[in-house]
Formats: sequence, C-alpha cells, structure tokens
Amino acid sequence: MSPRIPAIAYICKSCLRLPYYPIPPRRLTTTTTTPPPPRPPADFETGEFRKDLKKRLKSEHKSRQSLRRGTFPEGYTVTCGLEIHAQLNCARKLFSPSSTSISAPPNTHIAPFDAALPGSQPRLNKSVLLPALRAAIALRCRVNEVSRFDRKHYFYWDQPSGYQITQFYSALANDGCVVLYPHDTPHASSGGVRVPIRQVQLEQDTGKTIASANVSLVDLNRVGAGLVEIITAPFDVPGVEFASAVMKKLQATLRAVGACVVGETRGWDVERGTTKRLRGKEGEVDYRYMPDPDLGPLVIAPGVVEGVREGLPPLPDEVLEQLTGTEYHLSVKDAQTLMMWDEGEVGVISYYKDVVKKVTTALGTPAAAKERKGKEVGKIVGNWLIHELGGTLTTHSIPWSLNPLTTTALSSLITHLLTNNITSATAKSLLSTLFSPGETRTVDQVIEQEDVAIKPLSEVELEEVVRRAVTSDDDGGRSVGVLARIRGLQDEDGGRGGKKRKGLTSFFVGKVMKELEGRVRAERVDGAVERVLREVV
Amino acid sequence: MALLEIAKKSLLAAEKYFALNSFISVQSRPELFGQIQASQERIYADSGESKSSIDGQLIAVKDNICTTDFPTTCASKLLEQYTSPFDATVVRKAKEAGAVIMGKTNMDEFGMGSHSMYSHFGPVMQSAKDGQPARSAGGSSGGSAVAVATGMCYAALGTDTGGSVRLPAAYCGVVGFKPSYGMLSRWGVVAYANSLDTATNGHDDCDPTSITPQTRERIQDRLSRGRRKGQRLVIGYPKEFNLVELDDSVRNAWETTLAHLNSQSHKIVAVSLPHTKHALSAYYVLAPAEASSNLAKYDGVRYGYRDPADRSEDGLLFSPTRANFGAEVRRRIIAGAYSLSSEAIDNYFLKAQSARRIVQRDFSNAFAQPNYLTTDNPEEGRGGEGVDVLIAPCSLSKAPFLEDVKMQKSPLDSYVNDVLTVPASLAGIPAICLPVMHGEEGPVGMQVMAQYGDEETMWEVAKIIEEGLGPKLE
Repeated sequence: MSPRIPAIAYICKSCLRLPYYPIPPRRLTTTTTTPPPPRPPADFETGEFRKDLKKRLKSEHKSRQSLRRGTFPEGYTVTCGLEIHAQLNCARKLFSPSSTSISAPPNTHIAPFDAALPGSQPRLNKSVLLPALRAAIALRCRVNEVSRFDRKHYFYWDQPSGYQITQFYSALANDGCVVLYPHDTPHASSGGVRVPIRQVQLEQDTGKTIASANVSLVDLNRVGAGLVEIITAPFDVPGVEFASAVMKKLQATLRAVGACVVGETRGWDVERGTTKRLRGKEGEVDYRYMPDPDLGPLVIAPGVVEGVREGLPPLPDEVLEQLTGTEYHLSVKDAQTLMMWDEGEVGVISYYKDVVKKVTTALGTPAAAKERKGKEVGKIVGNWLIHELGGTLTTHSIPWSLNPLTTTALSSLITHLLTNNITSATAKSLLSTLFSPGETRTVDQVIEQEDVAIKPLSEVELEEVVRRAVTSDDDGGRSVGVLARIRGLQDEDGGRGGKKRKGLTSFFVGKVMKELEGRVRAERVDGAVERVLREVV
Repeated sequence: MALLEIAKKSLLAAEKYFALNSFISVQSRPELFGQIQASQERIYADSGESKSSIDGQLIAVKDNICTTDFPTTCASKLLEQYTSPFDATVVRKAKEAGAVIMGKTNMDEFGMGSHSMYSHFGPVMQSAKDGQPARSAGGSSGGSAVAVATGMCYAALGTDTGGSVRLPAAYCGVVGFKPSYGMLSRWGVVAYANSLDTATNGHDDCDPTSITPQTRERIQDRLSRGRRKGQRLVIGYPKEFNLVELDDSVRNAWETTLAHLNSQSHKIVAVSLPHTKHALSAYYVLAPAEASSNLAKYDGVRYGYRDPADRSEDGLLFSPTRANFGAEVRRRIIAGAYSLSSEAIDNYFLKAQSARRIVQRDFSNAFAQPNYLTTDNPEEGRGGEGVDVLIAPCSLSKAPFLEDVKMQKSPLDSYVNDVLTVPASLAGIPAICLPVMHGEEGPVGMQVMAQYGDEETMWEVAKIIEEGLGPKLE
C-alpha cells in the first residue's frame, strides 16, 4: 500500500546485457570475529584469587603463543566468522552516474549524490547487478527474487551522507557455501570442507582517508562504488591458516567469475609506522538500520539468474581439475601458480592453453612430444611459462598484462626445442633476445640469422673438437691438470674412483659445450669425451 | 495588464510587507525586470506565443528547494552560505515554462514546524490587521503562503510533508495544493521525510520515487473509466475529523461548504476513517525517523557551516557543528534516532509503519475507486457506495496569534495542528486547501482529498467550492 511501490528496480535479462569492465585489483577488507574461549571462574571468596589470576594470565599468554605457532590449545574449538567486502567490477557507482576509478586525482569522480549534496537522490545503476549476481551464483547462493536497501548510520568523514546504503533486512542472496579441498588447505579431506555463506549483500563503498600526523585528507572518488559484502556463518577453525585459506578461496572464486576486483586496504598510520584497522567493530554501536525511503525493492525477473549462471566462466576448482588432468598434466603447484597469475582479465591461463595447443599441433601428436623429452607438452609449456617467461618478465619488471611475447613466438621457441632443432641453452638465450628492445624478428628468423640451430656435427667432427679441448693448453694449464688427475685415477679402484672420474670428465664436457655454444646436446658430448679420454689416457 | 506592471505591483507589495520576513533571498530588480521584459517581448512579438500560463510571472520558491541563482539554506545556520550546483527539477521546469524566480521564501528549519517560527533568519509573520497582534503564517511553508497572500508574487512553490503547504494556506487564506506522492519530482528538494515529501507534474528520472510515465498513464486510464461522468458526485465528510478541539468558526465553515455542494445537487455522506486517531502519532514517529537519517549529512565537512572543532570532548564526531541545528530540528533528530534504535524500532518505527498502512486502507475503503498504484482491479474500490472526494477542514482554528504560540507550554502542542493534514500525507493522496468565506470573518481553510492520482476530480470539486464560497477578488 505504500506510495513507494513505484520505485521498484525491476531487473530483467536485457538490463544485464552489458560489457565487461576490467578494473585493476584494489580492495579487500576483512573483519574476523573470534569468540574468546570461556574463562575459568575465579574464586573471589578465597585467597586463591590472586594466584588464579596469575595462573590465568600465564595460560592466556601460552595460548597466544600457541596461536602464533598455528595450533590451538587443547580442549578449545575456535570458531570464526568472516565479513568480506569486495568492490564490484563495474564502471559506474552503485547509485550515481560517476565512474569508478582508482588512479584519478582525488575528488574528481563525485556526483551530487556521492557528496550527499542537499536535494540529491540515489538511482540504482542496474549494471552493478551483473557482477553482484555472478558473485552470488559462484558462491552457490540462493538469489532472492526481491531484496531491499537499508541505511546503516554512523558518522565518519569518509561517509558523506552519515549512513551507508546496504542490504540489512533482505539481502540480494543467502545460504551459499565455499568448499575447500586439499589443494586449498591441509585441513581438508578429499571430500572437501564446506564453509557456509550466510549472506551476499550489495552496499556502498566509503571514501578514502589519507591520515597524517595532524590532518586527515579525504578523497571521495571511491564513495558510493558498489561492493558486495559476503558474510559467512561461524565455522570451526582447525588452525590459524585455515581462515586465510578460506579468504584466498573466496578471492579466487570472485576473481574467476569477474565479479570483483580485490586487493587489500589498511590504514597507514604515519605516526606509528604500522597498519591499523580503520574502524573497529564496536559492539556498542547501534547502526539504527532503516529501510531507505528513496529506494524501492529490487526485483530480479525470472530467468535472470539462470542466464547469468550459463554465462559464468569456470570456477577455480574446475580450472584446477582441468589443468592437472590428462589434457595438461600440470602439477597442482604449477596449476595454482598459473591461476594466481591469472587474476582478473590478464588471461595467463588462456595464454598457456594457447601455447600448448600450438606446440601440440606443430608436433603432430602429444605422444610424439613425450617421446622426445620424456614429458608431456603441457608440463613443458608450464615450466617454460612459469620459470623462463615468468622469470624474464620479473627481471624486466613487466606485468603479465604487458607481456610482449606472443603465444606464437613462445610456441615456436618450444617447438624448436622439442624437435631438437635448438638446445635448451639456446632456447633460453633466444627468449632474452626476443625481449630486447626493438626486436621484431620471428623466432625462425633469429635462429637462422644468429646461426644457433643445432649443427648436424658428425661423430668424427665432434670427436675432433673434443680431442682439441682435452689436449690443448689454452686455459693456463687447467686442462692439463685435469687430464693428469684422470690419469692418476687409473690406479685407483672401485666406485670412489669412478665417481671422481665422472666429476673430472664433466670438466671437459663443460668446456666443449661452451665452445659449441650449446649447439650439441650434452649426452652426445658426454659420449664423445668418454671415447676420446679412453683413447688419450 | 502588462507583465511589467504586474511585477512592479508585486515588488511594491514585497517592499510594503518586508517586515513579515517572508523571504530569505530576493532577486535584484534589474535582473527580475530583465527576465520579465524578455518574456513580454516573446509573448507580444508578431509571431509570439506565451510559453505557459506562468510565462513572465513572478514565482517564489521555498528555501528548501535547490536553485543555482540563490543560496538554498533550509532556514538553517548549517546551510546559511550553501548554494546548490543544480536546480531542482521543479525549478528547472518552472524556468522552462518562462516563470521568473523571484527569490527564496522563509520557512521552519528543514521544514520542521507548524508556524514558520523556527527559522535561523527569524520567524515569518502574517500581516496584522486592525491593530491586532501578528498571527502565525503556519508552517513550514509560511514564507511562500505569506508571499502569495500579500500579492508579492503570482504563485509560490512549497513542500508538504505532513501539511506544510496546506496549513499555511489555511492560515493565510490562499490555495495550497499537495499532489499525489510521486507525481512531482523531489530531485533538488532537500529531504525531510522522503516517503512523505511532495513538491508542484511530470516524471523525473533523477527521482527514484517519481512515478513512471507508464504507471501515470495506466492510473489515469483506469480512473477515467470509473468516474461518475456527468452524474452528481458523492462527497464524504470524515466523522473522525470532527474533533472537539475544532473551533466553531471552522466547524461552521465546514457545514457551509457541505451545504453548498449539496445545493449543487451533489450527494453528501458521512464517512468513517476509524484509524485517523493513529495518524498523527504514526507521522511523528516516521517523519522524525527519516529526518534523523536525512540530516546526518550535515556535518560541515564538505559544505555548510563548520565548527572549528570536529568532535566534542568525549570524542563524538561532528557534534560541535551539529549543535548548531535549531531546537526543534535537534528535538526531532533525537526522537528519530531513538525510534530507529535497536531497542525501540519494534515498538515505534515498525508499529508506525503498520499504522500508516491501516490509515491508507481507511481511505481506500472510503473512496469509490481503488488506489490504482497498488492494484489494477477496479473491484477493489468501494464502488457505488464509495465517495469521489472527502471534504474536511485543514486546521483546528484560524491562524493563532504568534504571542499565543510562543506561550505554549510544550513544543509538542504545535504538533496537534497537523492532525487534519497528516492523514492524506500518510496515504500519499492528493489534497488541496481552499479558503472558504463564512460570515463576516476571514476565510477558513477547507481541504478536498481524492483517491491517489485523481487530481482531476479533486480540481472539479475545488472549483465548485471556490466559485461559490471563495474570497471575491477586488
């Protein structure tokens, strides 16, 4: 019967047909609440009181110490609830047309409503709903057909209206969960541990306070940006790192579906040089929740949830299963590394898959590759991507999003390696060549112009090179010395002598490899050195 | 009369009645004349055409409606220097129609009051007649009502949350109209109680509570099908409005109005709105609750008055700045904050919300047509037994002397004045207050209330009353 009914925000499928807005990772705040363990009652009637107190303090200190070590004192079950705020991946704010930005100069993205100017009113930006629904669905929640907006009151200078619009009485979604597996935490069995999610609600972000010794600077650019608050039900915490594993899992899930941009924000306390909690969770504060009289209910039309669910990208567990499965053969650790790098829109995983596909195609069959190197293509590409490419990017301080190497270039490099056209050392130096400024040549061109392809050196030619290396005196007598020691070993018997000999011969293998600049595989050089030594010694 | 002549006359009146304190800011004469001249040239040019009936007319705007040309103070110290960067939608539309905004009218601070006495810029007064002491202009849109009553302007914009347009109109003897909730945009109207605030038609995308064009069309279509066309109307008088506190002159004027309508062959019936007695209490829980929330933004951080100290000694943030609200505003903020507190919300805020629903239902049980905002079923109206409009007084008495108001023991005594206007506010239905002449004394304010969206029938009856009983123009 309320005259407010016309303000319904009715969300149908067409409301959500929207482009994807990438925003760099930024914000994530958490508050954990851990109910304190029950204290043993002190006996106030007797003189034992002080003694008890002392004992108690001591045991509390001990339990704090044990917490630091990651275990809890025996006999206690620690439970924990998490409230996680994640900024929604949306170009505009929740209730105003101003754009969300993290890099803009302070106070340049503020609509009248954001600054709480008199006479301004909120207007729900429907595009916020898409990332919010993705988050709710990815967290296996029940999306409510009708949800409402409420005001949560408190005074703070980064909160211009004196209240935050949130969903207190009826939220966007309820009753979901997140499941942790052994790859997430050692506390999980193969069946997984289920952490229940009580509620997923929409709410406004606050502004940013830049505190310094005697003045607080306020930036309202962030005011009113759309957040989801995810509230878990209390869950048992078997060890301290479990709660952080839950956090990581939530983050990964939200990132995977493009729902949120996450990072961490802590207030920087200039005076103390440490981080601090910006606002405590005072139990005494009464937020005086009130239904927002300007905003009508939010109604999700039938079919919207199903539509969003169909368009959802795979969840982390699904991605992990695929990467470690028979298609890619990655180890859990490597797969997790790739997934960690795959934040948001950067697309490390799709890059990886593309390289694997191209290498496999070039080789003909996956089996062919395994035959050559004893490893699956997926594993080899994984190694190259994580260790060689990843390392090179780190060396050059280039973020993944600006990776200059195309999948074609990397797959060509790896294919050359796998077909024994270049040595692994050559491949590595080729990679850094490709990273040099102004380099525009293809891998094939570089190999040809730099003349680094493995030369089909005949055994005779190879042995000639080896012989020269073994017998020459071009390194200040070192070769001569080594040769003399090998000869000396001839007199010794048994395994010890064999081991020493192997170490000494490897000196010559290295010398030859260096001379050939890695163009011949080490195994062949190994054989040739052995033959020559037998002949010379 | 030429527009400029009319304006000059108005400005003379403004000068003459300057002491009534009806304006907070006034546009300069050269600027006003320049704008009126432009309208006049437009209208009298060979191919000229008036933009609207208010083209070139002086319009005053209540000072809680945002304007870019003047400060918008809400009669509060906290916004003493505040000028909005945007015009309210109602102001923009008035300007587009050619209206000349004359200035900003005085009011109760943030619309909270019934006599326009609680203003940072001093109280508004009605002109004293025959050596009598000054009378209350009513509140909170008292400045607007006085400006119209004394001929300072052609019309004025006010805001009506619980009777803030109708009560001053009744006291000052002018017409005051409160539209159906959501028919006029509130964008740019500084919020007091959002769910009750109404301002003068058209959908505005900026206002989330503004009714969409589709809904407007549907409501008008349904209403027009159910109207008693060309037949005599059924006019109800709510029995519960006949309070013992009602002044004889008001009761007599009410009877006269009903008798006149009957003489025009309309049927008069008694109607019961049994829950009317809860309306005032519900209103004084809901409105302060919303106010306490809406006024939380006035902390002096981004605009408005700021106290040098950002917190009190006990660490309460912004309290030194917020101590500069007037007494009545502080009283309502505290009352509202209490009724929203976790210990009180069930007993006050939620109870008041249900009371509001019951009051709304009372009205729908009385009217022949249903409230098409919430239903599309014509059967939900009372049908043949129902009434087309309701007639009731707007105030318990004529305007009281300001001296008597000041003598009141409790500030709550003033709240009683809203008892007759608040029910229509809670129901969100349109209501108009008209001056009705009765005997030798000055006019009494009588209101016509109609079903949601049925302004058409409301105007029809208002016209009959005005033609028969309205003050005769000199």
